[in-house]
Amino acid sequence: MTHYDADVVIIGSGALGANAAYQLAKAGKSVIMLEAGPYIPRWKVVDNYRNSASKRNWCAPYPNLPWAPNSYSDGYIEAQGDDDFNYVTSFLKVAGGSTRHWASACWRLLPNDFKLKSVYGVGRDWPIAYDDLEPWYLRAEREVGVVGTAEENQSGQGRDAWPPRSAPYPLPPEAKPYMVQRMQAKLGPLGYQVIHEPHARVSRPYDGRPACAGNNNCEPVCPIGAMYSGDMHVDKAVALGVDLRTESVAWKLEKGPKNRIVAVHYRKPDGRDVRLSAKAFVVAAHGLESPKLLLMSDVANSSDQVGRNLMDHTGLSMTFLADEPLWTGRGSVQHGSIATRRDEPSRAQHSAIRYALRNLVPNSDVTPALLRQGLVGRELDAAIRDRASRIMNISTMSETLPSPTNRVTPHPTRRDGAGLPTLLVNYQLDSYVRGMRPQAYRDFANFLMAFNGEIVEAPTGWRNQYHIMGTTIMGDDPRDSVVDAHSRSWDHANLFIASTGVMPTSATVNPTLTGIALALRLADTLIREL
Amino acid sequence: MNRRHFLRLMLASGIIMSVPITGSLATAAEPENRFHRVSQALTGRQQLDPAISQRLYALLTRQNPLFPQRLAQLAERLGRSDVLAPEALLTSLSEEEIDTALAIITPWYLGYTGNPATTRATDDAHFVSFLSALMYEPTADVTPRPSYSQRGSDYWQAVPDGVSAPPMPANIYAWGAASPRAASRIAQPQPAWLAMVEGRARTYAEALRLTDGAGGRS
Amino acid sequence: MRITASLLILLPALALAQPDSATLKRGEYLAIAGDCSACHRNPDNGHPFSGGYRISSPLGDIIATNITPSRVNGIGNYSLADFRRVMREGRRRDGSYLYPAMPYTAFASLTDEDIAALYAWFMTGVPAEDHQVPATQLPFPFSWRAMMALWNGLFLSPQPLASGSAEAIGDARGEYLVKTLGHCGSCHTPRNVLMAEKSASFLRGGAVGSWQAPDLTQARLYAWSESELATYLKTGSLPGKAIAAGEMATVVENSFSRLTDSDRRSVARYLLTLGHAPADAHAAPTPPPRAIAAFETGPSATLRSAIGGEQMSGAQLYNAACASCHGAQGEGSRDAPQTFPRLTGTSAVLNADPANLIMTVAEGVDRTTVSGHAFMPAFSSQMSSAELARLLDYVSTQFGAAGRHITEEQVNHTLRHPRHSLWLQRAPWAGAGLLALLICLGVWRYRSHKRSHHESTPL
Repeated sequence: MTHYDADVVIIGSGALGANAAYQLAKAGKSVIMLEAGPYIPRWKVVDNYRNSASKRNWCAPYPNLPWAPNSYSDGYIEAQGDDDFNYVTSFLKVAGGSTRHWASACWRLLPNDFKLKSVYGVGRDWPIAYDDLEPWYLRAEREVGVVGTAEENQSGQGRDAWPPRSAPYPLPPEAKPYMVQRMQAKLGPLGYQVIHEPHARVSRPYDGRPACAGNNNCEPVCPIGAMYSGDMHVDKAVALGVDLRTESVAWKLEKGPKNRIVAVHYRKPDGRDVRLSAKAFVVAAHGLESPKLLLMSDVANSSDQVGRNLMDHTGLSMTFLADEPLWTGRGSVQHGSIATRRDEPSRAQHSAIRYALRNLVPNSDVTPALLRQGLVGRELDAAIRDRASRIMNISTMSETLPSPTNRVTPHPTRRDGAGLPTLLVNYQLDSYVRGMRPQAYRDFANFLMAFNGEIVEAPTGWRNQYHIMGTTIMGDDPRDSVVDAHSRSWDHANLFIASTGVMPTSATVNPTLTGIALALRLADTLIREL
Repeated sequence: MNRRHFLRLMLASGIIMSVPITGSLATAAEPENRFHRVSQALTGRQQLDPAISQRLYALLTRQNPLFPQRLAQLAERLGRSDVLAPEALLTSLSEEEIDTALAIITPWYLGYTGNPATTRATDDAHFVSFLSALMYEPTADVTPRPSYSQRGSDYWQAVPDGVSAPPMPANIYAWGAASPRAASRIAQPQPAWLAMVEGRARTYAEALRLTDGAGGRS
Repeated sequence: MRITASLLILLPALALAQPDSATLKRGEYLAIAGDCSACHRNPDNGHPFSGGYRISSPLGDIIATNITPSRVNGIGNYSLADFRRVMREGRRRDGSYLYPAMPYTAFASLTDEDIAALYAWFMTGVPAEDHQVPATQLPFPFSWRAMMALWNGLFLSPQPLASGSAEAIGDARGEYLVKTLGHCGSCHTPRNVLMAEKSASFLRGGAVGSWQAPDLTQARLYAWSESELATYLKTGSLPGKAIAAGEMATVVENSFSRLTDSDRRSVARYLLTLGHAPADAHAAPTPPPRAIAAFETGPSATLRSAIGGEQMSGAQLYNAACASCHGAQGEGSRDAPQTFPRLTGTSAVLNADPANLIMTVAEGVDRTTVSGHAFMPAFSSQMSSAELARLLDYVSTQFGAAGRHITEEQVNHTLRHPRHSLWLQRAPWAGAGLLALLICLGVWRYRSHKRSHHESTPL
């Protein structure tokens, strides 16, 4: 009778790993969850935020330990690619993961997003359909507390409520901020429907969390816990007996007989190595660290796709001054969206586009420029007020296609504080996403005209959204994919990957809800098999 | 930054006039005290937090050992408002003195010195204060200081104080099926606006010239 | 003849089987005012009256019974007389005694009409649920329910009261509500060694688990107006004066917020007639705000101090965990009525007894009334007890009274030990003593009986 340290070892305690851990623990399985970083309570992050000079730096209030560096650490990610775009991404290494500093947009993919190749002739298809994942989308929305309305057509105009749902959202939408009302009033007549963006900032007390009260600080941390973050499932999992091991950096998955994974090795800050055995392993270390672990361990890569097909939502961003007060900053950091171009026939030629409406308190954005102009005293105060009331930002969420040369590998020479390789990324924008620029410009021109706008920053540069996808790609063929339809490695029957890295299409929506749905689904598979 | 413009603005905003007539700025005993009074004069506030003042003074001095000297010089100039006419005072401020003034005003407004980075872990920014950062004061009645909620849920639906909202349909508040429907076709963009979006023109006037006046407002 | 007789017998039952809707509505209202569901609810499915909820007492759990008209497991076989005996005498249909966790000492003063209306409501307005509730099993000697006869003899002395009207504001109506349906004394009156309310200290303050139920007389309420107190009863929230949390939040949510405006005014009016203001009564002075630099100290100096709160002062912990809603200076939110109440001047903070402040922060607030859903998260799981204690100490000394410190010992004690006055700790001894007394009594009477019998027996 083989002794195992646990039924399942989960590597990574972000929203996806913690959700899987919680489900497994509820089903009575023993789980060890490894986390490279420390556990930091919410209020401590708030304290760090308030005492930091770099408040628009989403990683700044979180610990950045030498053996668990986050993505902003100097030199941690070396990125090569295009001249006109510098690949930057944002992830944390703390218990609860990167959802601790997200804005919690919780869209579902559309049915067509699962069939990009079949419907539009580009990219890849998922090996599952929307209907296959729908029950887990619903469960993910309930676990996370998603706010939304089932009445929206989330794919653009001309159709009824879409995508189809088996039950309403768990929580009703929040009130519509004045700025969004003005967007709708001015852009609607030009043909743009402003719809509700589903998100995880509860609109009424839910699951021990207060309702969103407009602290306007989702990124980098919700001060009151209204907005979902992965530490909530870490806490639930630990309360059910999951063994959370912080400051434990997994660095090797050990293969055994019959190509099963028999153990994981992790390193402590003092350099000590620990080996854990388990019946099954779930890699949940987000889209760059998960493939790095697989590559360092030389596992799961018979397809040579591990680390490849890196996708993000690289897009455009326009800032302008409207000719009327909009007063962004009332409410949370993001409300509403324009999804009119989310699923058009032009996807056969270029990326779809979804527009995001930014609702940040803009004082820290407008004041430095005014100070540099030499404004002082009452004039400065009046100018701050005027500009803060009228400034607006609209940005695109655009999709990229999987390309084998867009990839992440362990850095050949650089090492982090744990002695492990840092990251080397090659990321080039394809013609598919570049091809959407003319269309986006036409829309931006309409937006600008509607508000008689004064350009502050034209949308001429590319910007990442820090949504990491594709690097452990899901497919129906082991020769060109890393995991199967159940997020199970083709090569190792007891190895699963809970990561947005499994997504074969990027679409135009934030991938986390999809990732959580897939994690819940793979947890169900594990529960059946263990 | 145009020096004469800056000086005119200082005058226009009443800063020069709000400086105490007694000239005590120049003679303020300790440097911290002088710094505090100069800060209040330059920002036009009378209630700056003395502890934050001390902190900022220490920071600026660490960053630039010549700062106390520059401060004394600036204080002396500002203290002459009772002796010299404002115009004469203005022309007497040097580039360096203006730089010093800005080095004081900026962190009081922003709450930090230096340049914070948004996507890198290290930068040269230094924390001064958050609750004292003056840049949030001009909008405090309408928007919160980030992370400090001032109201409960859903307040943001109301028209902000002081705004006369243009007329909107009653269902503008609704999401979902009850919300106003958009037009069924997306409008063709006008060339001038397109030119601005593409970065080919900074202002609408420039864009019109560029596109030969072909882009009108609809 | 027999048919007529049976009809005559059945007629009152038939008449009762069809109470008029006014009586039913009145009964329903009285059940809300009496907050019967607070104890008699079913925690498994939320049914308000089918029982199962466990009232924790220092002697063990007392399990509230099913009071739906189920014939199998409820009160479906009760006549009006049976129901009246429960309410006035604390005795069940089968004659067994109820423990005074059921506040029949208060309900005993209900008018006949109100008891009849309640009976009508429970028998015909509430659907029967056959939920079977386990029997209460207190340890010996308290399992011997018959001893309640003696207790009732000592402490059950109902005061006749007129009920007044739910639509007219008045002292007498208020007194009736407070002393009967409200049974406020159950929590707010201190109890003696035999767990009976001390009538001489009516509403002078009591304990509920770890919470304090404050003094409701002028000794504490001297600065309250009638409309303020009525508002508090309606919404549970009077920023700057008091916030209902713990059991009182439940009472507001389930009972007071659903009464008529005039009944709340009546209760308030009556309460404000009780007792005397303290000689040194004065409004709490607003404390000077804490300097910002005291808690905005800049980035943490070390890696470790950026991860946890061991180095953080109470002021820093407050700013980090509380100020986002309650304001950097405890001023609360700027809307009116305040969504997030100010801490300055509020009773839990000003109270010399820190129990309610500790419990509110530890357990949070979750209270829904007509004015909305008030919610504050529970903080006991978010901080270590040392951090919690520093935080509470700051709140007490900064927003309450300087020098009114809270220690970690106090915090731990409050959280772990539901407060009992000494009498409860002595209760098992009191019980044993009572038993011994009764035995002695019994022996003495037997012997005196034998003696007299012996003496009177002719030789």
